[in-house]
Amino acid sequence: MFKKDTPPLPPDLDRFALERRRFLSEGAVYGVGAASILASLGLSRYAVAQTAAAPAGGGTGPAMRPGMPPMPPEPKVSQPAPLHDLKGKVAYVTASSDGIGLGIARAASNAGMKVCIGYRNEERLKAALPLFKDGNAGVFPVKHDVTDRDAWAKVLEQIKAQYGRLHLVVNNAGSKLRAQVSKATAEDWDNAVAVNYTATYNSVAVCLPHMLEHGEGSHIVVTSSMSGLLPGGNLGVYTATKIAAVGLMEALRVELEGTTVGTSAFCPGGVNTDNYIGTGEINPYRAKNPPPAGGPPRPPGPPPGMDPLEAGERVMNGVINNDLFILTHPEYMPGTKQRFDAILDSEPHESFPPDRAKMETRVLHAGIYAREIVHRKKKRKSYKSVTV
Amino acid sequence: MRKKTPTAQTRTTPDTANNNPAAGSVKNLDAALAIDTTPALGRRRFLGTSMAALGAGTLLADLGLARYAEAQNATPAPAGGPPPGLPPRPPEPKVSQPPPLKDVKGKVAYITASSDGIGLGIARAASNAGMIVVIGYRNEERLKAALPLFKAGNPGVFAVKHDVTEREGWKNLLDQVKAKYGKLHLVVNNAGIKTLRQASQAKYEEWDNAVAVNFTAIYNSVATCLPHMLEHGEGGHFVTTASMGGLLPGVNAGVYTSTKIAAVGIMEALRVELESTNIGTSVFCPGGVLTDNYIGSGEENPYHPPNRPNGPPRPPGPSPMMDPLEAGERVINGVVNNDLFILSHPEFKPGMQERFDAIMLSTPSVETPIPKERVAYEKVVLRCGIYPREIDHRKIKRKSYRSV
Repeated sequence: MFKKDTPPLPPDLDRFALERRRFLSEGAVYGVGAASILASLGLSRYAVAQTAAAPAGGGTGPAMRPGMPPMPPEPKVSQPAPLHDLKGKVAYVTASSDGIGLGIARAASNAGMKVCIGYRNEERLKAALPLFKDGNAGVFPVKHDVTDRDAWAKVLEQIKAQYGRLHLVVNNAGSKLRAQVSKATAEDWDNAVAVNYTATYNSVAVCLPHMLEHGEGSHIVVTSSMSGLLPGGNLGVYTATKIAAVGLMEALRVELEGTTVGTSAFCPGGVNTDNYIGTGEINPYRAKNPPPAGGPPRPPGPPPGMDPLEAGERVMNGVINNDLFILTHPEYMPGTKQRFDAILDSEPHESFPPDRAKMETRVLHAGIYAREIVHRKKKRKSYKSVTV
Repeated sequence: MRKKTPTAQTRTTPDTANNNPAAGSVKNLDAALAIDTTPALGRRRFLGTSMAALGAGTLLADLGLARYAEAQNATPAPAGGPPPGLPPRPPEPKVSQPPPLKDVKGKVAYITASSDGIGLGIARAASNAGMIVVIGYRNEERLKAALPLFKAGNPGVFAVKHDVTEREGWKNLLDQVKAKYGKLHLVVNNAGIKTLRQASQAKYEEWDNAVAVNFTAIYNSVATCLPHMLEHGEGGHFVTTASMGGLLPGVNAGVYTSTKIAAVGIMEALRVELESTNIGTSVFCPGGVLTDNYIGSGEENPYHPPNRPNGPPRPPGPSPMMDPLEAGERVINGVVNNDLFILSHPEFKPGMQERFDAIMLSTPSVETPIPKERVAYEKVVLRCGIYPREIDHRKIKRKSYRSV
């Protein structure tokens, strides 16, 4: 039934049996010759079609559309973690005087990094600074609005003047605007796009040339959300911009895989951001200041979300390992799987012209995912090991 | 006594887990998980490390996710509210949204950038399906070449000059359409920037322009046209032309792929918001379509000169890419069926599967048990009902796209 040259997979790799069974039961979904194209892309594991051998002579078919930019060289193995040793390196975490950003900054500091804290509110910064341990490497606050491109250039200059080099940028600033796309004002929309999406591009436009120039391993992270993979909340402006942020990091991985700069999208679920800092302590800034008028009431005890310091340690662990997706909340994965299944089920059950597939060859798969799968199968240390 | 391995046992009973999600006790876990009903590795990892014996399985079962994570524990779900201050969820329908624009005949469609390319294919397909078509254009020459392609007997065609990034322009457009035809039922956000720039090398204006056209223009269309559609109450539909690059960002052109991923995301978010109304949403993700030189059914595009001054040389004959008219027919078919994802190129499926597997395999291993309270707290966002309903919707038999 299967092509003879397709060896049976060990049971734990045979993840696509259902899919394959469906293909087979519906007849030749992939036309003659098409299967060999997919096989040549390393995708035969995903699509074993019942088909005759490829046409004799291998018919090269029409060439790719002319005028396309060249693809970067395709590495055989996943990108080696550019920032596998954090000690003494310099991190810049935007919006890190509070919330998840503070957790990331503290975890980075505990891992031996010099940490630049992006902030906008002086009071919050004052409350945050004593939380960094005395013996840690330096902490350097910079006032910064991430939507301001000139300010990005200034911040980079300040960091270079203070520490010489920048190795890690965590785009953590985010707008948690609770608006629906169908009801948001133009101003709300533009602001959310600027903070949650374009600000990450800004950081790349400004910091990437510096990172490539100094040539030491570097990394760019964006704090997205599980909403960036599973848009379940009724908050379209938030989810649409967070999905966009995840997509940008994937696109950047394609572009930067051959360089010394890694990329990660951090997608947390529930984290205690508003009232508690790491290890369950009350956030000193929030303890002094009542919740904003009109806002939700402050719950009496710690909510059951993840501790921000733990979230930060998981981010640092993702950086060390150069994980493309830093996921922390496994309870979201069944829902995410459902989303992916809905997309895959939407593909038409038809055959396609093999010549078309030949022209599309370069976009039929993205090597970053195949390599990420291999990367994820490796044994790794606990996220707790990042603290030195 | 011969020890039967769980795999050998389950190979012969492939559908047990699917039919009987509650059957699993911790003892049978291995056997249950070796069944290939869904990609098993991800599920096994997920269940083996996290959900089993934590009680969270019951919660997931409550959410209708039992197929994905069989309940392992009978403990009732703990009480716990969602985070305070979240806006209320819209009512959760039991079945997928009925197609709001099931009958397109005589309805009014506006397609942005439809004097050429895929947009022209969609406009012609809409016209052939009996719709009144409003063509958004920017270039008069292209429009002149496109107009004769609409069949003489079809309902009216009306052209409006429109830059989709201008919010005032959207208001003017809606006023003109209302003045001419009274109502607007279908908006196809087809205008797009095909810039092949890398996100790591793009200039500020290139990025801003791509975000404005490929992403924010969709918001603009909703902000302007949705209130009108809800007001006239006859059913409406929003479509966005994204790309397979929006589901599988394999090209080395990050500005394009990341804005297209964003466009897919906004349509999913809109489905969540609008599912209980009579406004449908779809995102069209085509692969290769003949856009530059040919119009529907293999005819040469009368506008395009043989070789554009700075463009790539024109291939000598028709290429094997999809005909834009066929692409348009598939879009109108997706509208008629209210498909959330209108996909047209099955050859991309294995690559997409690979991307989704990479994400699923990034699920963290659980070093400390997941607190049940946390799962209860996150309950409101742990699943998104639009997807199981879309899966059900896709199981319904349907007519060929050619029937439109």
